[in-house]
Amino acid sequence: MFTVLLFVIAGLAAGYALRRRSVLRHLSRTTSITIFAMLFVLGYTCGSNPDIVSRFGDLGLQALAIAAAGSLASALAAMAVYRWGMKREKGGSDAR
Amino acid sequence: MRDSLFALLMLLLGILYGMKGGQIPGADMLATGLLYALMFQVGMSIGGSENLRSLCRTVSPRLLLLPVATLLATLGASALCALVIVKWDVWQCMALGSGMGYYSLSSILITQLETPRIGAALAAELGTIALLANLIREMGTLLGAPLIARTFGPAAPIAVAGATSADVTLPILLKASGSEWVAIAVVHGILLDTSVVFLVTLLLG
Repeated sequence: MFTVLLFVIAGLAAGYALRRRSVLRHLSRTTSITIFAMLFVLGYTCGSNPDIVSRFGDLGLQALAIAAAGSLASALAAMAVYRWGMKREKGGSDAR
Repeated sequence: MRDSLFALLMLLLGILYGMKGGQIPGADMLATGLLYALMFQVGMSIGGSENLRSLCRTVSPRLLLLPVATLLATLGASALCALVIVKWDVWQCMALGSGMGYYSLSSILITQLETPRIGAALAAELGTIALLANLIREMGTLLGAPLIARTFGPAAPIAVAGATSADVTLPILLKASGSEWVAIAVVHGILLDTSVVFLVTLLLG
């Protein structure tokens, strides 16, 4: 964990130092390539393990549960924030 | 959308390669090296981002309401999932949800951080669930934004979009909620996007 954060912080410093350089423009491309390579390795780790392969349906269901719970709770929280927090100020500006 | 599909394709190709008995020499070391490279690049993009710096200057407490609500609601709901998915503990379930749509980073981080603790196989399983869960959340936003806006109000699609509300899902969100939500959606997305790396690391640390 510490090493991971160390790399983020080192990147932060490098990014800030290079903020006016064009090198940052290529960053989203190289980041995507790194991510795709990592996903391939993650897939390989799963695929080479017959135990995981046999339970793909089960993993999908767990993922669906996590996604549905997080999405529904976020939607309800947003509705509450909108009603009690944002709408009042918005309503004020609408009345003008 | 194209990137999401390509990400899914890479995962599927990896799975097929593994199932067919293909070998990647030093896969563990490779994954760790790639993770460090990724973390460095994530840091660089945060550090070099004009958006984030101008955001820090202009951010008001009101703009923070929605991202904080999304974060707390997601973590709370994910923690409750530990009651149903008994295989994983509360922290692991919260980490699964905490990608908030940022599927690639959260799944990879979870796999790498959990490998020393629970072994490579279980960690890969957890990472795959994280990837699918966050991908489902992003796809759900892309496909369901208008319905979510009608049912829960205009702020809700942005909250469901989570970390993706500043980029991937932004066009759909503005269509569903109205273009006056652009500032809120962008602030929401940037803050949550930035928080994912710290959140996952802290939850599993």
